[in-house]
Order: sequence, then structure tokens, then C-alpha cells
Amino acid sequence: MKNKFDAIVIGTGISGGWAAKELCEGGLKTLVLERGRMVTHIKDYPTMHMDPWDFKHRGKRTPEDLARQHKQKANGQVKKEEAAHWFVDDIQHPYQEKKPFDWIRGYHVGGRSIMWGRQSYRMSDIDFNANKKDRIAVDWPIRYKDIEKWYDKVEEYIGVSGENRGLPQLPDGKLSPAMPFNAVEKEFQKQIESQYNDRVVMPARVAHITGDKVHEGRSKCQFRNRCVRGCPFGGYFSSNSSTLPAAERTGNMTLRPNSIVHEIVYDERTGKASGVRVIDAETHEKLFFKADIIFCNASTVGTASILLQSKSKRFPNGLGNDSGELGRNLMDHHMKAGAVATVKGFEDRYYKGRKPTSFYVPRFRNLDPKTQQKDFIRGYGFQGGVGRADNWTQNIPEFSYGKDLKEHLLQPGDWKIGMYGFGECLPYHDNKVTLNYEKLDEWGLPTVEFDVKFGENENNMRKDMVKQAVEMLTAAGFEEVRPVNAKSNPGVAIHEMGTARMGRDPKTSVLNQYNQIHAVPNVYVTDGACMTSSACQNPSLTYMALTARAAHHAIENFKKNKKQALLWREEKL
Amino acid sequence: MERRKALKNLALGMGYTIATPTLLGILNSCVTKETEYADWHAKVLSTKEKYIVTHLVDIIIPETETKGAVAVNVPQFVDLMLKDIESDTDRNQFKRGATLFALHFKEKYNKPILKGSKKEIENLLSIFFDIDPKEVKRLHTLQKQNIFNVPREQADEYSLYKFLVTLRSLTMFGFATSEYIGEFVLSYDPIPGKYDPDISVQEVGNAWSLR
Repeated sequence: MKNKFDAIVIGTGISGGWAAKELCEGGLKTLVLERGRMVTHIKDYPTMHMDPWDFKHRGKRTPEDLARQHKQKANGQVKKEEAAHWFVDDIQHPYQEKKPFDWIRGYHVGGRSIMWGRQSYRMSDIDFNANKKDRIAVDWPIRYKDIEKWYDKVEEYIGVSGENRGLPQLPDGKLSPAMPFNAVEKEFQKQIESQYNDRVVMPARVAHITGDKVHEGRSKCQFRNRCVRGCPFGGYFSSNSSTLPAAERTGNMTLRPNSIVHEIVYDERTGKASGVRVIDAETHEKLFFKADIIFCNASTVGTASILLQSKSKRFPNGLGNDSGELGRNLMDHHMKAGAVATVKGFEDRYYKGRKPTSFYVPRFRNLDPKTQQKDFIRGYGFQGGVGRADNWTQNIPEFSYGKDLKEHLLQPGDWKIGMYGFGECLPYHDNKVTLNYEKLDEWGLPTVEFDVKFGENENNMRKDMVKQAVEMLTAAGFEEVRPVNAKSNPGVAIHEMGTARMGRDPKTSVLNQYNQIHAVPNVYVTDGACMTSSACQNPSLTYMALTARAAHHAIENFKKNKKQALLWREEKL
Repeated sequence: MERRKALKNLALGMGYTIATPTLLGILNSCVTKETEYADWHAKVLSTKEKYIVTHLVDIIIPETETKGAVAVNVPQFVDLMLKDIESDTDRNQFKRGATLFALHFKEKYNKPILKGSKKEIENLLSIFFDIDPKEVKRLHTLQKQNIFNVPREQADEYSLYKFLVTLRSLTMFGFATSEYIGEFVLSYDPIPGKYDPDISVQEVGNAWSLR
């Protein structure tokens, strides 16, 4: 295998896939490195067509299997056989916690783009201005106008279904038809929008194909709701179904799975990175690959770990860490706070198809002076779920048995509704990851140590999430309304971000406005690490847009430099 | 699964009348015949436990115009789940509860439960299940406690209901997620293709089988 490329992309998740596609389509010979195993679209989705009875334990997992994923199981999907194979073995991939942090990972080609939640929302200038306005952390070096056309490009390419409501806090997008509301979702929307003038209930925006636009190699969502297993129809967006095949089609991509990048090498002569050091996960062989451009998309914590390990005379504390901010300001959304209820009066209504999403209530707090809160800044959005329960999973209070029970089990259960907040988390300087060189992994590499906790602002916001959810479900006329406020360790939302933030000043940030490391301009970081604030929207769409934008910046510079080099050579001749 | 499918096809092809005793245990809910309760090898359940479990499963979800829980192999499923999925503590509590149930039986009918009829076992279950809703609530609360926090004088009640409640919920789970119920009794639609947001229950019939 050759060891010199135009570009290297580290990681194949939602942002790495985009970097690979854009760089390859831009004509760059690109090496794409993934630390985990190969996963080929469709071929490697072993559970995609399995019914409950096809699983030996009908989907339940053994205590022995769960013990090997004792951290991963904080995510409910890990408790089910259908998707557990997408999550890492915690014994093989350990990490350290000064305070509890649930680090949920998928080490394989496609990363977490296979099992992501698919909700896709734009950030607005309310978000890009927030740090500056609140005098918190540092200001974003970009505004909505800088990213808008990249949001357009990404949405049109991946396919996002949903509705535009012209809200300042949630910019309109290039959307395909929304997945329609069922009878109870409609009722909830009607009640809330007639009783509150500050909130809307809209179909969640999800990266699924609806409508007739053609997406190469993919087809429409079939409403199986088996997304997390990998979709044989490519109904939802993943790196495997979309960006990696696009990169492959150019003939410019070399994809190497089982490649653990542990260092980006800095060359003092050029003032740039010269390449990456890799350990083959299977053979433990050490390799070095050179490239002109490096995109680091190893995920927020993975990226921080690689950069912190990349020590040199110039960067003794990690590549590009002049500011001391590398590994710091780690954020995640806080979640699992909201309410549930039972809905009566729609017993004769039902639906066909398993809709893989439900409703969204965009942020309605701290948008303007009218909506300003005393106890917290920023805000949250509600993600909801509505459907008829299965009577056999419901905890029927009485100990019924016999013919009546059997008859009951076969009927559609009660209508249930739940809504949970996804809350913004502030970038706290003290929330950080560091490297632990005492506890090494199987490959002799340092493990990551988390020291992260939510603060007063998040805790106060949670109280409001619960209160508003209870009030809204009650106002809608629903019954048995119950508050939910479950323990939510940082990490469990799987929206970790911020460890190599963008900023204007190299003294206080790691990346510039094009996601380049300030002092090492041929290294781009475009995964969640780059985030300067977390907003409350699901962040993947923003990672993809920033990646596409940065890749075009890199391609332009690459071509300019090539042209320059050519001119110099001609002059010399 | 392949074997089960093959057996099922065989049975449907030839009709039930010629089913051999081997098939009866798997296909037919013939436990009403009192002694002929099962023809399979349990991995965790003792002979006595298997007898009790099979009868109770048959009582909890009986055969009607559609198959009951025994015919879709729920007793075997209960045995498998106890072996592989339930924790050691829960499995021990389940077994302790089954022993207590057998003791209650002996007290009531003055004979070993292995000689008990389905009717007698059903009468005993009724004593524990057909109770005041307030009692049900209290027992549910008791069940939620960690076994180590349960007062000694309530330990037997805890174990007995751990057995009965676990068995009831495994029966519902095993029945509803079985191939026969999932494909032929509930409304089965593996690839809907589209979402129809508002239709009447009558148009669908029984509940959808897949989540």
C-alpha cells in the first residue's frame, strides 16, 4: 500500500464520511482511516430483517454480554440484541472517570452514523451570538450566513424530512415532505398552538428520504423503524449508505479499517503536519502515512485524545494546544427530563407503518426579552414520542389471566405520549478530558480520563423542562400525566462536543473560522470537537455543514498551492 | 427455528389428528390431559417445576380459537430465559417461589402437586391472583424492593409472587413475540412501505405485532 496521499481523513462517522466525500470529489487522493472493523452497506447489517422470534432470547441480552458493555448499556439500544453489536466492548476499550461520564462509542466503518438519532436541526444566529452576548467562553468565529449555504448543500444531499415554520431560533431548511402526524400528535399540536403563543409543535426533522428526489444508491424510508440495525433501503442517512459510497465512486478513496491513529506528526521545517502514525488494530503493526492535508474526524473525545497524544518540541502539550484549551470545554446535552401521559378518546384510531420519529417543540426560552428566564440562560427543545402501547409490555396493574388476558394482549394498547427536553450545556473550562499514561489500552496507548459535570445552569434548566412538559401535557387534556427526571450523566445524550473549540483568538481557542488548527493550518478538525457552544439542537447536521465548508476551503488551498508549486518549478526551469 | 417451522408446516399440512405424542408437546395445548404435560428436556426447571410452569402457562394464556401459550412453546421459553437471561438472584427467587406454590398446593389438596389437575392448580392460582386491587398494589410495591430489604416475615410472600409475576410476564412476552402469534394472529407488516397516520382500528384488526 502506498503511504503518500493528498489528504488523510481520520474517522468514518458522520463528519469523516463528509470529509471523505468532499475531498475525493474535489479530486484529492484521500486515505480514509477507521480504527474499527469494516462495515459494508447492507452486507454487514446482520439483524436488519430479523423479527422478534428470530432472536434466541427475543432480543434480550445475557448478563455476561451486558457485563462486557457495562458503560455502553447506559444507552438503551445496548440492552437489545438487534443493535448491541454496534457498540464497543468496554473491557477492550476502557476509559477513566473522575466523575461519571457515559462515553458511548461505535468502532467500525460508519461509526455512530449507523445508530444515530437522525434528528437534524440548523443552529441560528441566536446560538452563534450566544457566547458573546452572555460573555461566556469565547465567541464563535462564524455566523449563520457563513454556514447557511452548507446547511442547504448537506440537507439536499442527505435528505431531511420535516416542516419549515419560519422561526428565528430554528432556521428553515431545504426539506422533503414531513412525516405526517397521527391523530394524537395532531390533537397535541392543536391544543398547544391554540393555548400557547410562544411554542409550536412540529414533525421532527429527520434525515430520512421522503418525497421523490433521487439519492444515489438509496431509496425512500419504508417505515420499518429498524434504523438502528442499519437500513437495507438506505432510507436514512449514514456514512455507509451515502457519503462513503460517493467517495468510493470517484476512485480517489483508499479506505483502511482497523487503523488506530494515535499521532499527527508535526514537521518543524514546514510548520505543518506531515502525516499520521497508525497502529493496525489487528496485527499491532506500526505504520506512517503522509499527506498534505489532514482532517481529524475521530469524534470529539477521540480527536482530543489524538491531538493530546501528538506531542512535539513545538507542541509539548498536544498539537495546536498553544491556548491550553485542547481537551477542555467538553459539553453534552442534558436529557431524560420531561413528562409522560396517557391519552383517552382516540381508542378507535390507529395507524399503519412504524414512523421512526414523532414531534419536536423548538426552543422557546431566552429567545428575546419576553422569554427571558430568571434561573437559567439558553434553552432546550422537546423531542416527543406518540403511539399505541403494546398491551403485553404494559405493566397491567391487576394480576389478570386466562381468556380475558389473552384477548386483551391482542388488542392495541393505550395511546401514550412522552416528551423530553434536550438542553444546552455551557462550555465550562473545568470540564475536560486528559490522558492517563498509567492505564494503557491493548495497543499500549494512554486511556482517556473524564472530569466533567453539569452545573447550576443545566440543573435549573432541567426543573423548567419537567415543569413545562407536565403543564403542556396537562393543558392538552391528557391523563395520568407524570413528571420524568431520570439521572442523566454527561455523555449519555451522545452529543459530546467542544474539546478543540473554534474561535477568533489563538490564545483562547484551538481552531480558526475554517476549522484549521490556528498554528497548523493543514490540520482541520470538523467533528464535534470544534463546537464553541452546544446550542440545544441535535448537532450532527452542523458537523456535516462545517465539514463540507472546511473541505472546500482545504481543496481550494490545495489547488492554489499546487498551482504555485508548478509556477515555481517552471520559473526554475 | 427451522425445526419448529418444519414441524409447524407438517402439522398444518396433515392436520392435527395424526400428531404423534412427540408433536403434542410442541404443537398442541394438550396439558389439560393432566399427566401428559410436556415432552421436552428442561435446562433449569426440575420435573416438578416444569409441571407447575407448564400448567400455569396454560392457565395464564389458554388455547381458544387460536393457540395458547403452551402450543407456542412458552414453557420452553421460560426455561431458556431463566437459564440465560434472569440473574442468579431472580432465578433462585423464582425457584423458591415455585416450591412455596407446591407447598400451598399440598396443604390445600393433601397430595403432591405432580398429582394435581389443571383445575386444582387454577383454583390455587385464583387464590393468589383474584384479589383486591389494593392488595395487588401492595404486592407490586413489595416486588420492586431489593430482596435484601424485604422483612423476613414477608420473604415467603415476596418469593411466591416473584415466581407468579415473573412467570406471568414471561408468558405474555414469550406468547406475544412468538412466530405464530406475531405473524398469524397479530397484524404483521414487516415492510410497511408508507405511513398512514390515521386509520380506524377496524381496518387493522388485532394490534400490530412489530414495534
